[in-house]
Amino acid sequence: MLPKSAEEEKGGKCLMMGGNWGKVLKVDLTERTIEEEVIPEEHYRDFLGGSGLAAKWFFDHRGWEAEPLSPENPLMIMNGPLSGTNYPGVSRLEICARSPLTGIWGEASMGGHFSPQLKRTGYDGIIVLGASEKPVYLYVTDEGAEIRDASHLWGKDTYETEELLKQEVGDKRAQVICIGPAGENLVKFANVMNDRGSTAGRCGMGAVMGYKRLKAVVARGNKKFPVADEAGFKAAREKMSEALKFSMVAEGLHAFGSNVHMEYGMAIGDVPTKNWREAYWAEGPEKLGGTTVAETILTRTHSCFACPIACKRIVEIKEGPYRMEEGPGSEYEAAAALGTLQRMDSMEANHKANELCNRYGMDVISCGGVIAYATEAFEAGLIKKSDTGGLKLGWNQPDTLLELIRRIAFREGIGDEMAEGVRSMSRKFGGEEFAIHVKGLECPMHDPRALWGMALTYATSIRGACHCADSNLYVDLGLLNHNELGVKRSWPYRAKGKAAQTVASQKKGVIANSAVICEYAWNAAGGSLAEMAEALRALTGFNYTVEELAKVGDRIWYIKRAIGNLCGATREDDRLPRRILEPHPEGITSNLHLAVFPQFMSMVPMGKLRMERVKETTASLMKKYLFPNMDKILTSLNKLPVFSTRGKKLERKDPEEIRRRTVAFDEMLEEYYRLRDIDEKGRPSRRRLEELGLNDVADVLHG
Amino acid sequence: MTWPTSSMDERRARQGGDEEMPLVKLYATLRKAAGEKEYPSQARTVGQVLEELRERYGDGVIRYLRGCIVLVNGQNIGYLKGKRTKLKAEDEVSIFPPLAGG
Repeated sequence: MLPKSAEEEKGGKCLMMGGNWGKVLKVDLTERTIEEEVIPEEHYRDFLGGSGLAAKWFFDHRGWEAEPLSPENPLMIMNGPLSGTNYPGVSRLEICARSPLTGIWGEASMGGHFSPQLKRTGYDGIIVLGASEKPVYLYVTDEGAEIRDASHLWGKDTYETEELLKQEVGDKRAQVICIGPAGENLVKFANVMNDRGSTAGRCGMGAVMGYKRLKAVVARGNKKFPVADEAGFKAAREKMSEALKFSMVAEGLHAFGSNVHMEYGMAIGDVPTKNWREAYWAEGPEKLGGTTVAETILTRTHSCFACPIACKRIVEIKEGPYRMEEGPGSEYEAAAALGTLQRMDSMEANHKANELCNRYGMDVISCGGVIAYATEAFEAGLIKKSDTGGLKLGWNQPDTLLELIRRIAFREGIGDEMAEGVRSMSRKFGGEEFAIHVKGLECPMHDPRALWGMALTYATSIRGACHCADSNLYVDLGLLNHNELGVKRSWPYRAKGKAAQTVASQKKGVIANSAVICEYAWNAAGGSLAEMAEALRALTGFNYTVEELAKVGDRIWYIKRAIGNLCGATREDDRLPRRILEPHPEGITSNLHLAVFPQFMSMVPMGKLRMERVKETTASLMKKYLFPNMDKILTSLNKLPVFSTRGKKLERKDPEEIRRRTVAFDEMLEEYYRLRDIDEKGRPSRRRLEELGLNDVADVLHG
Repeated sequence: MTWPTSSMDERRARQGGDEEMPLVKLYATLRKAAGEKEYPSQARTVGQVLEELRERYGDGVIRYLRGCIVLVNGQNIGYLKGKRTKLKAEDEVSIFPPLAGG
């Protein structure tokens, strides 16, 4: 547990911690009751807030005993201590519940403008229990909360709902999170939307809301929460703002949005193409990339609350079949999932598809994943025309794509099956080898064959295949390091060091989702845990240090892992489809990994290597070891992936070559289990849980 | 293999002559700062390309070249000879400033 705060050390108890209100709103939609629940201060200290605090509440109330689509499943809409401050990038809101898509712990993070409004109402979050008979929405203000009728909004899309509700409450500054038709129809990957383009996308939180008949939550507040050390927090904030001003990553995100990644991503084989069958599609980025968007349909940029980066795109398509009024454009995940993954080269159709997903309220990643799976299954003859109602599925068919999105949202025909996600579909139609998911959650748009760290990220992320649960992507790209945690960065294509890197990355990822802060903003400013500790210390008054914060990161990770176990997840679920570990079956056979080179390697000062002593040592070593063993060394070098494939094309019939090029996943995973102290059933050991003060979790998990 | 991404004929047409020169492609914020997508280069090594960029577009681009990623025909120069990597007429040099998204 954490050391005592300054006030506690003086002998008195801190009356109110900074950054939090110390209470959440508990709403029961069955009983139509609303009450306040006080959260003990030590829970804030040990679990921060956001998804960490939600996990603690979920565990304490035995949330895993409720089925995902049942009134008892708690929907937790949570802020963190940073929410509502003017620290850069703290617009995020965490929405958590047991996921109807995966059946395990589900969480989704959204940007936009809702989070600060909720904070100003005087609550750190809202926990929704029960289910209403009629559609309702929740209106939260300084004076409390109210359950209101939403029958007139049922069936409206998210853009309309947001507008209508702002008019209804008569306050333009009120903020709305809502679901669209997909959530109402219990599409398993339905999302929750705010500000038209900000989404809590993953894990089907929209379906949980839909089941509860909760169409929306509206918040408007004016209260000012306490900050423990105003001057200290201001200094920390200015440091972060200054770092962002000079950040190249922030500049790239501002100029081209998150889709700035597509060009470089394609060059290194990181952008999944044609349901993960191809490594490289030269035309893809030219047609769909962020640079092209900026040069063509972009009208302006848009930012979430208190964010100097402004990575959101606002676009307009004035004419043609995919005409679109001015509104949010595709981000990288949408451009890839509804673009390259379908091998579709129409930028206009891609943005239209993104808009449809936003309006209907569906996760673009899962939606793209399930459509790509269905297309391949159709090609393989597993899904027939009789199943699709005569619709012919295929690659690069924009109109079919848009039609499928509509059918999924309204669960029409084949859309009813697709709305269950790829895991469910592949169990029914077959083709599990190309159903790309982990624990039932469709894989996001980064290829583990390009950056091996992503293999561990996907396999061990709590909620299933997820790229936001840790910072491995940035580390493997060479933009971040974990030096402050004493962990060295590893080579992109080696198993060695990946497990330790992933553990460190997860500590930071957990902090981001609990504190709560945008990973783009934090990582663009250097992703420093020391600076985060400084900000949180000043804000909350708790004595956070890098070590303590790392421990908080571990504590939250382990409690979530335990919840996963209690929901039924085992080691067997930490698997990746072979398709995304083995060399691509089509297209160029990828020596693309020669495009990634750890940046820190190129920073070795060559001048120092020329020093005489080094020369002498090298010469003597060469004489003694290198020359007599040259044969052996050359043979072993050839086995390393980096050297073995330079300029070569893959001989598909050569099993040895395929083995060498396959992500060494099992090796990395074993090492990871060892570091995390995970037993053969996939559970964290009692010892590790007790070290982190999670004795209650150990008792429930190990009996 | 699709690298280089444009054919020799296309490139000759763009360069307006028969002379073959390495093609330098600029990406993202570097492209924005330079105001140009690509150009035929006189340089014979990667180091010379970086120098050439400074001369061609001024000091404004220097900040994008720090920590930039340079690929020659799709291969990172880290696996070649770094800035001393020699360029042939048919080579394609892609330069990315440090960036991330996703």
